[in-house]
Amino acid sequence: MARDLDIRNTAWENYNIASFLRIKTKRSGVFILFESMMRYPNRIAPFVFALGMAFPIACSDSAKGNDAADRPQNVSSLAERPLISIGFMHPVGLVITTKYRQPLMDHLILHTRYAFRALFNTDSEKTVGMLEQRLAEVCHMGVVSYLEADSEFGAIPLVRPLNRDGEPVSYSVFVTPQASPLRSLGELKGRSLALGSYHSTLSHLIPRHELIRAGVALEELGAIEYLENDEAIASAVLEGRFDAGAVDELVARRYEEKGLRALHVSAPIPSAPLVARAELPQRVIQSVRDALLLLDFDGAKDREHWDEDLRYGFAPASAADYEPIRKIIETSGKGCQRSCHLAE
Amino acid sequence: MTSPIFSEGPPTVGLLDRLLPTLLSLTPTPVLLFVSTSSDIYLRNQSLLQFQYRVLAPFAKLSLVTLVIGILLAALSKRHRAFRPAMSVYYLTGPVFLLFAFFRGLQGVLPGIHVLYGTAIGLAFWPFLLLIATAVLNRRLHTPSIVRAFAVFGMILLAYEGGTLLYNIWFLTPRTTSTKADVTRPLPSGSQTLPNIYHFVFDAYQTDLLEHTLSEETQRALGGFTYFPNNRAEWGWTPMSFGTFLSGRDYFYDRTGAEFVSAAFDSKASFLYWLKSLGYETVAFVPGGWIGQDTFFDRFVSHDEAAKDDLLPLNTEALWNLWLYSNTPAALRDAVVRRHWFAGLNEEDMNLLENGRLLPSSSPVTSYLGFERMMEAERNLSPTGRYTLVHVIIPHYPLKLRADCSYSVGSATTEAIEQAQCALKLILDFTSLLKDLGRFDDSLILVHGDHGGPYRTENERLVIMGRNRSLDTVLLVKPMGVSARGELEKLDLETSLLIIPSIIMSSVTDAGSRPPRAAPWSRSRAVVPLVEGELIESAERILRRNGFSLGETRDIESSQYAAGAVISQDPPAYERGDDTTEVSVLVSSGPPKGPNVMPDFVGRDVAEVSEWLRQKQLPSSVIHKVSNPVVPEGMVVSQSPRAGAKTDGNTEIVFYVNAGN
Repeated sequence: MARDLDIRNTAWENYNIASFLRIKTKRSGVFILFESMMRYPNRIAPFVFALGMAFPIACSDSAKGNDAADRPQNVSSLAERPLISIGFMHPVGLVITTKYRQPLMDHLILHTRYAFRALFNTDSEKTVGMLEQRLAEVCHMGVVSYLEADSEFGAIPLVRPLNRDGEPVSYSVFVTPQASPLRSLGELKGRSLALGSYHSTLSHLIPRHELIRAGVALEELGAIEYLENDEAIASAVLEGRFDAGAVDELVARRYEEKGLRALHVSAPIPSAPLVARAELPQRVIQSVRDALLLLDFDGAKDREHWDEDLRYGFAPASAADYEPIRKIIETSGKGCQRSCHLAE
Repeated sequence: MTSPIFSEGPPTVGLLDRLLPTLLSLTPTPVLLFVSTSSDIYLRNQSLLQFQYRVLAPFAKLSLVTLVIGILLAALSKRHRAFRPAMSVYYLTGPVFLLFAFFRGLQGVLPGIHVLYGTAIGLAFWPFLLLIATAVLNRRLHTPSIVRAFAVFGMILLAYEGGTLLYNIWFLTPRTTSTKADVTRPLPSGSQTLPNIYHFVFDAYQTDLLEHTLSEETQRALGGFTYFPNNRAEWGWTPMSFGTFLSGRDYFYDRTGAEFVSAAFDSKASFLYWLKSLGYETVAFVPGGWIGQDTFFDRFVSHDEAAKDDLLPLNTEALWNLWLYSNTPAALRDAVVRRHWFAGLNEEDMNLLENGRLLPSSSPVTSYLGFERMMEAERNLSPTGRYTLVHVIIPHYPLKLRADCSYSVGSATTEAIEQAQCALKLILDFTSLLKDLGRFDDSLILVHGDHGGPYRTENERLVIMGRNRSLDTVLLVKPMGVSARGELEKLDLETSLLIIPSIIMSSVTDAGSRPPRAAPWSRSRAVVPLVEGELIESAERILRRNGFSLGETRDIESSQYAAGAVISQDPPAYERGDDTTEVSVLVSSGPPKGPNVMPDFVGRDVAEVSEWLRQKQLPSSVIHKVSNPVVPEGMVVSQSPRAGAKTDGNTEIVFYVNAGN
């Protein structure tokens, strides 16, 4: 169960107005330390540890320099900047994702007049919700999620991430075990297939579209199952639970070394955009977009430590780029508007 | 061997010298058993317990009773050796309990330790340990040196526990120093001609919740109200939502979110400022989390404070439950306590208990009790010229209130629909009270949420949706001068909470008009909105939303206003808007520019600062290194003087630069 930003399950007291405005109502740190020491023997160790840590920190130059009380009143500070939260959908652990997304935040802080932070969600529906409720100003989301957000409350694609070839496109890849006798999509008839959730572009919408183009109706498959994410699909195929599965090309490439091969690669589709709410002031949109576009493909070699789907830079995005996908949704009638959730 | 307790010879020292160590040596057991354990729980939950330290009274009594038992045993064992083992048990109970607490704290740290705490064998182990310890130490315990050691231990415990509690109660318990909390305090009465305004904010009151609780009967009872089923909040969380509907403006990212919210509570941006300037008496009944937001309120009552008498027995019972749960061995707790005393708790409550935090009353319950006190106060408050804001955490999570607003102490989760029924009941109760007091017809009554909940309606059933929460939120308005005839009127108009200041200020502006003017939402340009202080793009949006357009725009240099901010407007804010379609503004072009104006280096690289300093050759400049984990190394985090300030050769210029993590 994702615990990323589930404010529904948070008591009101935890984010009330006073705490938002940082009014101090808590007990002093020194007192808590003293109390920890004296309460029970099993708390003495943390106290000694904390004291040991606190002393050198308190004596260090950086601590003295950071002391707000020492500063003059007439200051300009980063803390005065409006905060822009960028939401990411990512099915892996928070620590890893924060580490690889933080360089992007640093870049944006450096090139705009705003402060930035990364927020994470493991669920595409909640990512759309983050944008809707303004818990995040910008979200990196799948194409289907973007179109869903746009139709519900208005969303603007800012940029499209480039792939390792410097193109702002992605591919959906049907994968199968290397030893599999399957050679084309047409041979999937009567076989089992793993797809992603209804919200997924690369592991659900596009694969279904590709199957139709290859003349394979879903009813002709032996079995079809919808798994939580691309990693789960690739693992399931690798374990032999399915004859094939459809995943994002990045996942397909990762699993190539582990024993999967590409059965079929889709036509290129515009990559998953970074999306802003339509009501976000134009100057904010422009500022963030300009800063992102400074990240070009030529500089990718200096960004080896960045997350793979963001490190190659960005291209401008517009609603027109996603029209073909919108048409696929409309023509297939299986898009991910509200009806999808109802189907689930 | 002689001892200060059991010596049978003539006293060789004074009474005080003999009795005081004895008395002190008896204190560790009651202090460890009851005072330490209960104060620990209290201190961790004191804000949830509304800082009512009187909840510790039962434990103080238990400590005294235990001490009296100790004194009796000491007296009896002096005369009868048969009582010495019992006296030893008394002495050793405290240390054994300390050992028990120590091992309990190691659960999850040391493998296998739970055997001593969570199994039947462990349950038998502790009394067995106590008996063995008594048998082994029975004779030695009564030596003067051991008794003195116990006395010193008791003294330290008393000093520490007493000190901890006194420190908290004396220094950290918030006190109502403001007379604003006193609703009986006489005030210069509000204007005789201005009708009352009642403004209710029901937290997380989603439109779907109201729809599912409206019956024909309640719709009749809400006669006079207009309901806007297509109303939306601008933000999905409370502080920012308050910022929008108190100011009628959306956040434009030209300041921090905290500054935006703060301005809506204590600056001209707030419609409260304008109501006060018109002579309104302002009253707020709000949750405890509103600390410090009373700038524009003549009376400011927190629900916690208003309901403290009702909450005391609740809090006492909750602390008692928590103490029992925390200090009963798990095996016994699972076998007996959980089955009987805690049978009504759900999984969520149990999780809170496991973490030593059982919400004794929860925000909805406190809000409900505060609402009740507000209803009582209404009878004695001014019948005219008063604006009353009521914010309740209902029907917001956690779900604790039943349909009739009854509740159980710290437990028993109800349904979302039930808590929504309670919200509707409170609205109906209050309108009924206003009718009884003859204040209903004249008053403006606004009822709305601040955002929605995590629901959607599917096949006419309320279900939890995949997103955190909806922005669909209730808006009900009973205009001034409208009586309770008919039933609830539904209006299929797209609205947002940004309309609130416009409804309030146009109602006030139109009060007493003959013939009565149409409702503000049914006519364009009902009132001129406030755009002062906004960036020009934001001002234009606000004007457009209210049916106006931007008129003449003139620029002027200003050190006070940021470049692009509106300094003044014509016509002024909250005047009737019938006679004009345009609003002219004076806009700041920023501070005067020149060679002696401080540039903005915040967010830029320290190399740029170095270059600038080299060019300027300023003698008084300092670069401090600081550690900031969320920005790149070498970035200027802050500077003094601030950007735009005038400098001369003697101004000390300071930069704080991130030295890396």
